[in-house]
Amino acid sequence: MSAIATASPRRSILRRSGFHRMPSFFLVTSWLIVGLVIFMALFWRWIMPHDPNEQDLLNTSASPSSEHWLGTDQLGRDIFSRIIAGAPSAITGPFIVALTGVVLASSLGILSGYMGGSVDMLIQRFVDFMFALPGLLIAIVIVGVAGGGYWMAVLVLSLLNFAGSVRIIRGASLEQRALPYVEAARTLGVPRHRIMYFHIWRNISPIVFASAALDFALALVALSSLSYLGLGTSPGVPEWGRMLAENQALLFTNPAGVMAPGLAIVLFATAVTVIGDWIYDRFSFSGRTGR
Amino acid sequence: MAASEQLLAVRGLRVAYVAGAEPRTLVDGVELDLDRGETIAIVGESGSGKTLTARAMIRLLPTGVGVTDGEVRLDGNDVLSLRGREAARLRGNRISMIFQDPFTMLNPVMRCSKHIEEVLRNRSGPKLGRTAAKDEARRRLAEVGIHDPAAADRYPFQLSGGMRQRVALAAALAGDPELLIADEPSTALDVTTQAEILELLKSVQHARGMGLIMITHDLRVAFSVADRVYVFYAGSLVEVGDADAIEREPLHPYSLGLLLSEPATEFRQQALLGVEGSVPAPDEVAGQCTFASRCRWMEADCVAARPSLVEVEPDRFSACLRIAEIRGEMDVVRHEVRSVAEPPEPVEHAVLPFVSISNLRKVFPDARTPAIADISLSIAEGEAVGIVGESGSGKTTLGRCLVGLETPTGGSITVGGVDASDYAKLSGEDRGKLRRSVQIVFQDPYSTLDPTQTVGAALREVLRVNGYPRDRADARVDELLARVGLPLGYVRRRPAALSGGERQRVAIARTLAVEPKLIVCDEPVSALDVSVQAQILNLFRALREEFGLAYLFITHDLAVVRQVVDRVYVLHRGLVVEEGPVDRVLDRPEHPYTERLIASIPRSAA
Amino acid sequence: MGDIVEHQVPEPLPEAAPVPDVVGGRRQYLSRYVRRRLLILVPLAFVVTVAAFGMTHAAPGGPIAALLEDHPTSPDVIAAIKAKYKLDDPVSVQYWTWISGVAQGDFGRSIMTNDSVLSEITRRLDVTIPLNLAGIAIAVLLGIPLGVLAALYRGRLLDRLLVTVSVLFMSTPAFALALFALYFLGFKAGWFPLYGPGSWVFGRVHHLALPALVLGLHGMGLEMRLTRAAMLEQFEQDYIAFARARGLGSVHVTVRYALRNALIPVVTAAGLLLTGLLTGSVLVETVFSLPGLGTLLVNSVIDGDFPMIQGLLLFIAVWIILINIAVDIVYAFIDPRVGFGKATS
Repeated sequence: MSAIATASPRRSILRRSGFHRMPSFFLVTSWLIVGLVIFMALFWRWIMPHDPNEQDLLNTSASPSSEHWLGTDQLGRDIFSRIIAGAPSAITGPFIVALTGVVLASSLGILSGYMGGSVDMLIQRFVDFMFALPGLLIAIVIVGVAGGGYWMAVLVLSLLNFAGSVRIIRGASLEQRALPYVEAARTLGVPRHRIMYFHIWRNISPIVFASAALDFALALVALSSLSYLGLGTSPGVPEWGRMLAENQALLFTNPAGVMAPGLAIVLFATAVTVIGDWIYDRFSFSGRTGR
Repeated sequence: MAASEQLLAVRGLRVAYVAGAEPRTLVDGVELDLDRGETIAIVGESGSGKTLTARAMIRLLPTGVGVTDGEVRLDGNDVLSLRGREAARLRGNRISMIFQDPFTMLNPVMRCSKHIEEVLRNRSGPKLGRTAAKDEARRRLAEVGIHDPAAADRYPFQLSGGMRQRVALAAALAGDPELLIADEPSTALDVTTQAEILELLKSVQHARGMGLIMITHDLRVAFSVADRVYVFYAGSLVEVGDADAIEREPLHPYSLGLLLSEPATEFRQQALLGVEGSVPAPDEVAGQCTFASRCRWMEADCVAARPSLVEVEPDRFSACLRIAEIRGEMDVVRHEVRSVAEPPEPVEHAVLPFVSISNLRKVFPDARTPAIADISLSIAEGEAVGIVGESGSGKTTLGRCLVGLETPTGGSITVGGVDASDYAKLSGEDRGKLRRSVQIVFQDPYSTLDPTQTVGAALREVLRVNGYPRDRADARVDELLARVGLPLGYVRRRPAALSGGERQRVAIARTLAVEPKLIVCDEPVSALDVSVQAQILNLFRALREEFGLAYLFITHDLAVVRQVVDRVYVLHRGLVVEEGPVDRVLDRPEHPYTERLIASIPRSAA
Repeated sequence: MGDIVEHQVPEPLPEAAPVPDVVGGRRQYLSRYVRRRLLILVPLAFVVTVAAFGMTHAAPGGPIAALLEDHPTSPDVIAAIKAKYKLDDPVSVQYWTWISGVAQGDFGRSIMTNDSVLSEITRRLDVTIPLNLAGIAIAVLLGIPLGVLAALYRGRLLDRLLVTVSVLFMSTPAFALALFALYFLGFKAGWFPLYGPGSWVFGRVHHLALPALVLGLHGMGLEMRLTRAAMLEQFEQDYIAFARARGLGSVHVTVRYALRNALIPVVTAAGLLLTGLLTGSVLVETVFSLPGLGTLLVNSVIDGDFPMIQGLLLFIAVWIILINIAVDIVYAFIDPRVGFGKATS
């Protein structure tokens, strides 16, 4: 839509975060957090101390104790266990959104940047339109009206949130296309699909993966927001965003019930963002080819 | 020469990259003197430390780079100890500097005259009114030859490169500095504009009586502008002397190599002498003669200790230990290389030329003027044809049309009997035939190879897509590398591990893989250091001899074109203005534009 | 010094000026551009309304299910409702009825409250507009200076701290940030009232302060990071080095050169931010129980109040387009190259 303002701000989000300068502490912590969440998502059944849905009506809204590390909610369920059990939905949905984003955005973005002409125009107009749409707002409306819960939300976000990545990837492909190595491949008879999805893809893949990491973090935040509004996971399934809504009434009695799932989202999203930045800085070939 | 009152003295300057784990030396032990009103040139290839030396003098080193030793005195005052605000006051008012690229030097969102006004007001404070500053800026623009008052109110992007460089010069001079450092001020410009800017610099320097330090990679530019020349190599000084003396007889093997690898403009050389290898990092050659590894006169003494600059003759300094012994030999080499080759034999024109282009026209969408207005030319089999022109002449577009990277708007191209006007309309078979007969080598060696692919993989890919038998591919790759003079071990290297010259060799090998009859060479050496340029030009000559290749050699450099081609076309604004055997066109130009091009080649002041 | 000695200046040879100086070219370009963009409003409004319409009618059970909710049904009730909302007409006719109403300023009535959709939306704007404006102001006024500061201290402790803060704010969902703020600033410190919009001017400012702060901080992370990246890119530019080589002071160079040029991408991002804040305010309003557009949207969606949803979607679409146009106009003002072919490419 925006003819002038197509300079993608997301490209500069990726650019030079400064995190590559401090690999030691932040990066290691980030990898640890991501590793921990993956571990929880895989083994949650075996590592949680309580059944996340077991109600202890004699011990509701309890403060942290040695039995319940983070206390219990209004139904007496163990908050710590619910956080562990919330890990699968914190990974699955965002992962699907990011993966769809990678596939859709890189095929469209490379096609648009490399082919140019009317193909580019068409994709660009489409992307401009998509980009102006507030994905989360639309997801709220669709999931609210049409139902479908978590998976509908994942579907809607997958289809609405890849426009930013297309812009980044198109821009990167456009830069690659003008480079002599691509032109040489053309004159040497290398087939077009191989130039696009082998040569260009390999050279811009750090940007794609960094952008996917950003998409993952954004999807995590968006999905938990939907859950908070009561539009995500079905009741009973533990989910971090929903836990904030459930425990909001406890805010002044057992703040851990709100702080813990809130921090889980923040730390996980931050860790993924930091890793995305690191991928961009570390693996960009563009940084190594220059003199 | 002007009054010999010393303005600048640099002693034992060392500059290093200090931000990393271990410091890396970039400039080592530089000594430099400049008198008031004198012009010196600092000459060196990329990585020689010439720019950092200048940046240290003006206190503008990049972050992470610092002066680790030595002193810089301006009028006897220590420059290096100045603190932030004092250093800012030194810049612009006492020492000023202009850079290479006029397209990036000016603030894109600021009108031209503002660049001058802000310096005037910065110096005089609020007592200089807005209108007074504007008027003064007009006068300053007139000083650099911009008399059109409208130009002052334009934004930089509305001006041409030469005009921008003039505005930049006026802005740099707005604080009336005693010393101006010009860092490759003409390199990014066209030949004719280049000559204007050099002329302008000389006249401004003379009129103001200021000191001028000219930083350049081009010995011809140095000789044409400077009184004295400092030759840098790998972060250190190797020779200092009067410009005309060094031009007459260089007293260091590196200066000699640099001088000799510069292709001659006036005649076709028997052989081009490049300096083998490439420039080392200063730390690799610490404690020895920096040039030893590439020097043919190297002996044990040369690598035992770093030789210091010694006065060989009055006012002539050389860092070569053996200069007294080898002076005679150097003289012989110089005369050998400068011997004139036979004029190229005219290539027999068959009835039908191999390539024939007629009434070619190319207009890019949204362009006001056509890139190619009307060009007709022909190339015989095995003939080397040169295309000479400045930016905007259409020379690059011409080459790109020939290999199918652009589709012409009008006219026709025939290659070996196949109509190559529109590659998209050809049958797969014809397109394949064309691809195997016409290839292209690009200018920028740093992105001509896919950075993710090894050299071997790149060559094998080309062989595979062109149907070369898989089982013989590896042998063929080795053979190709040998042809372009690269060691076989390079198959496993990635481009990042190759120097510019080596990458260009791989790019040439890649075109040879399809055994083309014609190679379009689009400025193939202009991004390379001079000492490497000659190696690549020699390679082009040798390959032609061996395979009977035809070239369409596109260049802005008349000296280069003289060395490799038989016939030349001179292009100007999308038209051929002159055409003929290269020696005839360059020695007896008939068209005024060709004359202007030739007149613009920098020549020594003497 | 200062006097220019007479000397022979080589004249520049005549050359084609790369860009002609067309008087009024920019203004013409801009007005043409804005007109074109405003024209897009019409088809876009069509697309949005059709989508909204289609969605509410495609929902399981259609609008009737939403209307009936859990009430006991009888064929009579259904028939009455169908008659009232003209649900027996073909969808296209229903759409036409609605859109022609919209054209006359009649957006229909809410199913839940029977209030006019338009007046309900206007009433809610009293909360949402101040909230969004304060939010963007906080995001820009904190984000840009902090981003500049981080860039100036690149690689040092302060920079690392600021970068960490910005990433944390960017990855914190608005509702979590709101709850954190509510607990620490509202409850623990007691600086702000906890819930509700407040009444009268002072009370409203006081009540909206914390939600606005939350919204502002939520946007600040992005703004700061973009500013920092844009400034760092500027510091590498030749013209910055050339400005310093001419003795211009560091404040002058930072503000007039680096920041001035860095503003171009940052302003573009501010438009994106405004759209983002609209989403953010849905969550923040929910946490603080503010009667704004966001809570209206969430409630209408949950209640299936389709006339309200349609009205809101149309309103939001127009809002976003107007923001985009405004950003493009500001952009054209701060970048003199716009309108000379750079922008259209």
